[in-house]
Amino acid sequence: MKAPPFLQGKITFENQVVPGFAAEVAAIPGGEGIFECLQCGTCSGVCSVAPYMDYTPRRLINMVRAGFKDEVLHSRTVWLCTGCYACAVNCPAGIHITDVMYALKRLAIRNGSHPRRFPIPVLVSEFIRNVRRTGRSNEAELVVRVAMKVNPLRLLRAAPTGLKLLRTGRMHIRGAKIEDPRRLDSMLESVSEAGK
Amino acid sequence: MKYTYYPGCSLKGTGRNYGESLTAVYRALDHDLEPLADFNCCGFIAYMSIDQAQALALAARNLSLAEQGGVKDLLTPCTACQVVLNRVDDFRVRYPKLMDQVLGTMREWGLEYRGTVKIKHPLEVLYDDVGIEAIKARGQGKLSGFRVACYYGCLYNRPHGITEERFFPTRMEEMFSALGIEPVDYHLKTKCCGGSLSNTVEAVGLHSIFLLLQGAKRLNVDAIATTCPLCQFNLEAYQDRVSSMFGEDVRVPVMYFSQVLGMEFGLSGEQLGLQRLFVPAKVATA
Repeated sequence: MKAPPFLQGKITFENQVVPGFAAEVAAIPGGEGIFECLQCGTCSGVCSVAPYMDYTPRRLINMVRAGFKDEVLHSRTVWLCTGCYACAVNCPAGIHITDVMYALKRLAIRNGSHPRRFPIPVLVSEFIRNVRRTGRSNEAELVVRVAMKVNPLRLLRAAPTGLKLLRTGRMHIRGAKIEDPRRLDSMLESVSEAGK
Repeated sequence: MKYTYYPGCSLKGTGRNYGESLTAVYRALDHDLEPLADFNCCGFIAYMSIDQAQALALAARNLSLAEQGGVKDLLTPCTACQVVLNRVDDFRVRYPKLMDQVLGTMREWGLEYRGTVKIKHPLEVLYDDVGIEAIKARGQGKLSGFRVACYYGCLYNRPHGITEERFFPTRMEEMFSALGIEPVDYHLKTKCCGGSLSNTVEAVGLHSIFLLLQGAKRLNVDAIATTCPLCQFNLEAYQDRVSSMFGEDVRVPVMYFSQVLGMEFGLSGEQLGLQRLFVPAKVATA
């Protein structure tokens, strides 16, 4: 059923939800706690970025359980989570909420459904490329690469900070490498195969 | 005694003066700090957002290197690294099947890990192992009356660590008080600095930073002392911007706890990397 125009984008009808979504999330290590959620809202209360989220953590968990797959995987909430664990250590039901957020991030990336041009998924993928190539992360290179992909004008604004870092000897132009980055890269590949 | 530490990526870059000051302070207390050889990136929060098994393997490789080198306590100055490395042991208990797969594959690559390495923050080691008495004995009264907001950041004791200390750690305050330094009652000490949001979703990241600086500034402090390189950078690097953005001057020196200790010990600014700070602390050093 298609919603009448004045309701489009506002209401999710039953035939639009994905009933298996909750089970899919619960099957991921870290996701098994979602059925224990009491909907008390403690997580949202202690979350320092909740005011900036589109759905609070409490609401997001219930949306997962109700099968709102599309909304959940497109939300900014999962990406705004900084992983500070305030929710997880306070949850009266003992849910590892931060791990749930990580699980949702991975699902969103795998589905290609993270919000477009949102800088965090870009940062995440660039970071990993960096680590796979050298075994280390190079902060300076990362900032430049993310800015180029998201909005090159950011580089102009970041320039004064970059100069200060250079002047104080706190920036490495050429990133450090581990002894054998290619071996690490192959090992990671085989670990991921084993984890499937 | 000789300690091995895990520098992570920032102690080789933006947090260079953290590594320098830690080494100098430990040296002043007759302990040597050595970086873990051939360490790799811990994976930060980013790796977990893409591939769980790989993220765990990346962290576990460091632990394996430490274990093979006979390291019992791995000092981890960056609290983000600390959480990521700790997760390996945490997941061994919670998800043994997943971890057996990861560690099993790693073994085929010559990287054995049996779980004998303990991750410790250098502040914790100073307090628990070196001891307040030894630290107090080294003090020179140079910073008496120096007002400091002790900022631990979110990950210092979360999710691991002692329950009561997850939101109200006190080791830094106790150590400073013993030396005559004046820690103020900083209620935001474990609020998240926003991590990488300052560089991605600025509206959120910079607002978080502003709130933290404003809280400290209003307590009239001489400096903020931090225990994490990302917190230090976030709080220091964006001060001009957030001050003009939110219309309140929140500029204040942001130092590593080790720099504050080193100043009190009478170490030189050079040894502590004070010249690398953007906002120098107004205090006479040797």
